[in-house]
Amino acid sequence: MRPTSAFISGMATMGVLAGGIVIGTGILDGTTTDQNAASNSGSNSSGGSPSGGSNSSSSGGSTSGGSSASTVKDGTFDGPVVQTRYGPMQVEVVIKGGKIESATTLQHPGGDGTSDQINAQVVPILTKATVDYQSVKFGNVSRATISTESYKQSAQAALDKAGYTG
Amino acid sequence: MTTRQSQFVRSAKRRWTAKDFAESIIPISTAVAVAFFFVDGGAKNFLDIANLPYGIGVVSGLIGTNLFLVMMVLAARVPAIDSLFGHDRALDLHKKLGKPVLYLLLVHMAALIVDSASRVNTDLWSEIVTMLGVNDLLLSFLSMAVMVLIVVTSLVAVKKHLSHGVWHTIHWTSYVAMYLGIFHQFTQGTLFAEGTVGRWYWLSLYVVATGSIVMFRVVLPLLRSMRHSLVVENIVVEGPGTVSITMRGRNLSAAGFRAGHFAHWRFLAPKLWTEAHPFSVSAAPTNDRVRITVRELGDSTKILQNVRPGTAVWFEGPYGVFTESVRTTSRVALIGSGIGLAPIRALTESMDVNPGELTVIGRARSEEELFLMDEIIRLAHAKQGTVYTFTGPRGRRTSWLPWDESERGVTISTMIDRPAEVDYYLCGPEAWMDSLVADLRSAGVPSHRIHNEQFAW
Repeated sequence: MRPTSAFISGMATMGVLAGGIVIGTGILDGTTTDQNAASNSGSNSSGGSPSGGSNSSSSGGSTSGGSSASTVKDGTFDGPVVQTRYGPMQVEVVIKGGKIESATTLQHPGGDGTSDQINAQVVPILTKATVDYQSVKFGNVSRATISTESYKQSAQAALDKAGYTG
Repeated sequence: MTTRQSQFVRSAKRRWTAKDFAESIIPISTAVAVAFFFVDGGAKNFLDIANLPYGIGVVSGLIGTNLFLVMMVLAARVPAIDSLFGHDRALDLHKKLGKPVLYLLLVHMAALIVDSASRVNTDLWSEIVTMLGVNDLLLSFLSMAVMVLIVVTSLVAVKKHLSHGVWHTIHWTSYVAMYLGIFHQFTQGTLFAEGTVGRWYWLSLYVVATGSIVMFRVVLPLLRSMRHSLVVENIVVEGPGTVSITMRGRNLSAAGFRAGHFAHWRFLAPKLWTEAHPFSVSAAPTNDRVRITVRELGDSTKILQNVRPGTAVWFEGPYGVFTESVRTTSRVALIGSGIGLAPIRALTESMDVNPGELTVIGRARSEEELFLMDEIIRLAHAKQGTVYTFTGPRGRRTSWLPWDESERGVTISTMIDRPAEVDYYLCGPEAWMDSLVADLRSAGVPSHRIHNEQFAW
């Protein structure tokens, strides 16, 4: 490669990397991504954040096509225990006035006393996102795919029990 | 500068620009892969010591896989790559990337095991056992094992103990490794999760790599072989263990055969049809005929015994940039040794030169190994070119000439006037070419005027 070309392609390479860092760290728009992102509302456009509805939910539970929304029961509903390689995940949702009032985890991986940074950070993000989005159709949380997937699976099953289709 | 000369310069510059563009795809595509991770917030992992293994693991995996796919494309004999760099240079880079790619992927594996184990507070071994229980990860571990096997069998020290067939069979399992490793890339982590742009980008890389291999290593050769229906017309003995084979076919210009090209030839005859052999074209190809000259210790006897006029021939090719297309100036020197004279013979015939612009140098251990030299002399003289021949064992270790000549101080500068202003086409054994290149360089010949091709397949 000629020196000029090497310089240009070197700059292009650096530019792509720098661009990735700028977008990813949200230096320009002042927002953050990564695990904190899910707790923000849809205004966060940076990559890696869950964006309501735009990501197809890959939860194991059925996504309840077709049933009428008027049949939503209020109450507390427990999802099934979903086993992950890091431990069990079980979600409880509270439905009030046809809306998701709150979501909590009854069990989560690493929640049995062993210190688990990741889940300690991730679970509040997931439960808050569930209420914010009024569904589990939000994107994955970076670095916590397994937790996210198992959470969604259990939570969706709980929502199905309630007849919640939102 | 004459118009003719400036045409050579312009076409050379166009080639260099195209080559630089093509080369820069490698670093830029690698950066794009890493940037996907950074956009996903991955850069932050490098700011926190606890997350460092994760960052390193993902980045090395992305770089390693991107380069792995580059290796696949380099070995796919893509016509555009071949006509810019030559098959041999593409394979050189392919070989150079082998070990770094393996190391990157090993780092990827190790770093992510460490990260994963530290997150659930367990020891490495039980973490590996847990991981092996996840189907996609189990497959990626298998992929890693296959890659280690492929690289180990390709180390020079190991490869020389293996037959080409065994090595080749093992090497084909690269495609298995490629696809065993693909699943976990989409299911582990969020980077290429469903609904992301990255998922489509990453998949498209696999489509391009697989597509190039299927298209250019299988489909195109088969289509060409059927379309041009080559059959052996005659076989002529040229010297010890050396034969010329003329083949007849339909509409060969459409396949793009030129003097200096080689192809992998598969003779559909007993004991020969299972393997394709690379041989250079040894006469300027025409629309219905192409000739090769073959010297292979074992294979030539097999060829003599089994190839008959009428034998059908399949081919993969033509390949190579040892053609007039890489020319940069009007004066040309063609230098060949032994069987390396085969493409020199073809180039002598086709090279577009004015009187006095062509020099041909033939070199061999003995007169009878100056293959095709009578034809070369006749063709060169018809173009009013100069011909030198040298026979005898090599002189000093560093000389490409026989003893007498090297002792007398003969070099390229004593044969060619203003040697730096000439394009050189070299073909012969590797060690001999190295000495010759050293002589050319010391005569001030810039490297872009030296065109040589190693036999590579």
